[in-house]
Amino acid sequence: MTIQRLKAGVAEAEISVKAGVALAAELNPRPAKGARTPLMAKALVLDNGEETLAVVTLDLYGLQSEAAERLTSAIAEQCNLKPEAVLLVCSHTRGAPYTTPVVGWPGVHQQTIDQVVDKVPRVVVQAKANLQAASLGVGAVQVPHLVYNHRLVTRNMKVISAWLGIPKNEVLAPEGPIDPQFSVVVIRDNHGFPFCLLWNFAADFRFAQDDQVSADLPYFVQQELDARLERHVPVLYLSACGGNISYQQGLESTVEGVTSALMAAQLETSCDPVIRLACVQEKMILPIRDYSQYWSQPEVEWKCPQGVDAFAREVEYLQQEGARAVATRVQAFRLGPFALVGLPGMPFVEFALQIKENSPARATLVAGNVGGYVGYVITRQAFEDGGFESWPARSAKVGLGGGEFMADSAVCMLKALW
Amino acid sequence: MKAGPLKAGIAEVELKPPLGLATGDGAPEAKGFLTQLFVKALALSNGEEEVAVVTLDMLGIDRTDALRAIDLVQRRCGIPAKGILLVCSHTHVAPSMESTLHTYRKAFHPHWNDEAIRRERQWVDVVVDSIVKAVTEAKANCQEASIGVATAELPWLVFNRRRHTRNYGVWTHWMGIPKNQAYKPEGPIDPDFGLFVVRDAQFKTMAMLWNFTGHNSFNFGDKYSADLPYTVQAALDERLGEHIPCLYTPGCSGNTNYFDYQKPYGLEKATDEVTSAIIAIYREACTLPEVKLGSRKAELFFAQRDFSHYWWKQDIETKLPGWTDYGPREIERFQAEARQNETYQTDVTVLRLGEGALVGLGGEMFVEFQMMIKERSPFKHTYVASYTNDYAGYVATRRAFMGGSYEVWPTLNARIGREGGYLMVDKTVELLHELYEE
Repeated sequence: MTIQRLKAGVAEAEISVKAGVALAAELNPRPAKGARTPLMAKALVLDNGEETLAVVTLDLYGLQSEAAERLTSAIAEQCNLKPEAVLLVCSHTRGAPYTTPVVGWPGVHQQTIDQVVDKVPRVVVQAKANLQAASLGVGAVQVPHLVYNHRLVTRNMKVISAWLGIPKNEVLAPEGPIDPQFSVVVIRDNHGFPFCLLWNFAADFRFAQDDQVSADLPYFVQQELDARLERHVPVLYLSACGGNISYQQGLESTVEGVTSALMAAQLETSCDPVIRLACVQEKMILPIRDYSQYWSQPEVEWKCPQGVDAFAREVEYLQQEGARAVATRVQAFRLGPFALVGLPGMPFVEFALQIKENSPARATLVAGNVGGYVGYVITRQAFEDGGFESWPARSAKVGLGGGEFMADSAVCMLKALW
Repeated sequence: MKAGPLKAGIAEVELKPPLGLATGDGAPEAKGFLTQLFVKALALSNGEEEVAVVTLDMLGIDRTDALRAIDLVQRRCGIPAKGILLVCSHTHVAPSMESTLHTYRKAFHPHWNDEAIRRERQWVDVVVDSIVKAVTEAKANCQEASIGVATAELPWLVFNRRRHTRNYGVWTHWMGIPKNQAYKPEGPIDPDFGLFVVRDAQFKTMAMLWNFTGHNSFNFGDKYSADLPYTVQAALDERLGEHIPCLYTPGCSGNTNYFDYQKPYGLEKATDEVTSAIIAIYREACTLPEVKLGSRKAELFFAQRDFSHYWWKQDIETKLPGWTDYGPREIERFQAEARQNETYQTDVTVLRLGEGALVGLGGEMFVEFQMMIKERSPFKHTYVASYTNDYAGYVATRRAFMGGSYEVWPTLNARIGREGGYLMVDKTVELLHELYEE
């Protein structure tokens, strides 16, 4: 089969929830009293006659693995796609219900999960129905001023995440780097106008911490972009490897910075109407953290006293589960000369940098929080340095070396696609 | 700096400590001898410059005592202070000489008292006199000579003793690492074995000086022992059928040990391997009769570790519970000292010995630092002698402060902060370049 001109379709639907449901955040559950923004599911389908790919973004904290499998299967079945051709990306908003276990809350909100599994496949079906002639390109800008590595090396307490509050006179250096590259996938219509954008930037936003349902940053960026373009262009947010990266400033400034970056990148991006599409996924069994004891107790007591009981319960939950490993998968899409990698959980930025450095693609986007949520995926260095992200929990399962293995595997997968 | 005809002299003076002194890291009171203890001195001159390397079978020497000895040598022998290295072998069972370890002794030696301190000070005076005597004799023995360097690679002899564990950060090997925990060493080893060879006018080897990086700690009982330098000298004499004085300068061994050092056969095994290496390479050394000699010395002021709080309480109680009561005592001592002086002063000393350089650093340096120095040195052969002209305690890398464990706790005399080693490296390299380019 020869490659035909690219077609692309996009669709959106609300997946909002009712008041009263507990909103997800580490150690900070709170019942929703209203909604600041809707929660959205967005889908982009790409088809070149040879291959069909779907990217689905969800305004959710994460999806537990079983739910992600159900949803992927439903999309694949209803849209006649291969499961590996479906990339599910959650935004990691703290303004959505518990759709995956998180430290500080015992369970998940099954009703929301069921609603998502029921509703989202129809969004993808709609996107597929909307296919139109298109061209695709990837642009990038460098915005190091927007983010910082929030794991800070201290003089006497190893690493502490900035948001936990760092004692005075202690900070020496960030533990690791940031990735300043802000990437945008631009889909243009037959007249050259963008009709869908995907943005990928390595940072974890956590602006929505109150009692309002909120999609948080992706929603406000969409709103601001629409205002600047004077029309609605669906923007899909590809959560990136931001497990150790936070935004420097508040919501308003961040929306301004992100939207400007998005606009600048898309305005500079040329697109190709005939591109090769391909996908691959690899299942992998990663080591699980040692939950045989509450090893991290002294450190939690020291750095996060409010979390001592919650992390103790997490150890108990993990012991009850008795898992011997973390089963997950890594996905990779080829979009012409560009690559899109999907990693599960909240990987540290070092993994994205490693993949980009070794990728054969002209440009590589690395999305985190793809598929089933496995929590923080941290570096070997971070295990040694300690800190919040290293403490075992249902939302921090992957053990020593797991992230490095995922990154290596992703590079191998990309090389196989090229 | 000009090259000139080399003259070299060697002398050995036996140290005869009385029984009953506390050993460096062994018993409160020594009750016998396993080996003799020596001061050895190698004096070198080329008509323009004079330098002296003195090796001591001791755990370490306080800077004040080292400076006193160096000053006496300078005044009596005319060798400039900047050109004198007093290098301790770091045997753990020679008489203690460090006032900086008195808090430790008070914590663990029930009979440690003013009388014990007086006896220790008397012994230090004997050692200082012996240093002066040895250098004086070495200088008097000077004769036409040539000097060169031979090298070997011995990675199978030593290991990095700081190990990463799954759940405890870094754990130092000798403290007993819990099962199912260790998965990799924190740092490297340096397999580079260096041998300075000094030949007389008839080309006969008259002295050697070896440098290798591993803790000279094999015996821990109540008998005095020089450990490795003595047993290597004895094995060498036996295999060569003659006595060629051999000086030992330990490399930056703060985090490296010999394999099997805790086993009864550990010393014998290390002795055999080191002696074999020396005999394998000493004839290969190319020596020069006309050489450049030179020296540089710099005093540095080091930021200290954070004594404001007993930060390492949890780490100590977990990994070395026997030190639970002792740890806070050192914190109190360091706090009191810091009220008088916020920094710790020690020196970096660098000698040029022909085509090679010998660096003297005062602490129990981590091996990474000497590897940095070697990497950046302009000299073809550069070796670093730790425990030299001071006993400044462990000097650890930034990474080690993250990993924790014994060497980074503010105990014993380990007080130099996380940047100290890097400053030593930078200054050393600066001095090496000065010497090389002069």
